[in-house]
Amino acid sequence: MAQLNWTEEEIYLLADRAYALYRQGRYPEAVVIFEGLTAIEPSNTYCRAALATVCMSLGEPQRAVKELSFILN
Amino acid sequence: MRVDYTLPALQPGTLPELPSGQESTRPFREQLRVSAPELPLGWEQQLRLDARPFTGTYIGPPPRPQALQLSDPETQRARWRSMIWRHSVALDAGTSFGRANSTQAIRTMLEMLQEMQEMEDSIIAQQVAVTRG
Repeated sequence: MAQLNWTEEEIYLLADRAYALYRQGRYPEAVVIFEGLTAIEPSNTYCRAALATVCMSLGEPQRAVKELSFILN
Repeated sequence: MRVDYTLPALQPGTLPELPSGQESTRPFREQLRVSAPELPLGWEQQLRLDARPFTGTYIGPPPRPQALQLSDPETQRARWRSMIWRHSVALDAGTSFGRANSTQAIRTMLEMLQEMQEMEDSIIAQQVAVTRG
């Protein structure tokens, strides 16, 4: 469940910005946004999987596994 | 010595027989409808850029909420700025919920977005200044 003062549209806009950064290869910035989004909405599967993917791109497979394990659990 | 330069595959053969019966009596418009030529693919399809790579380092775009209405870029920019400002104020005021770790992650995200916003504003200001002379 998202924190009370964040709307679904706002989360989408942030995720879309993070996705754009990811497409540009700006992985550290994308990670910051996806981390913020998973803090806002821990159960958001897209943001969690995206965070894991960007971690893989950054060469952090252990962290990617941790994020994906959160989804499975 | 006589050399035959005609390639067998390119020799003009006999014309294919026209279909007999009802096929040949159909109007031309219907015959056009029967043949559905394949539309040319776009460059992204031809280069297979639309295909999802089978690697672990790929994500697609986020699912868009159905209720979301995107307006003109000016309004979107104002909305984005308002969103960052409002949540930064809320976070500073301590009205957000959550653990310390999650609050810190949100704060870091908002600070980075604010910096990016300031950079974007400065670029726009420079462009406006150049345009006006």
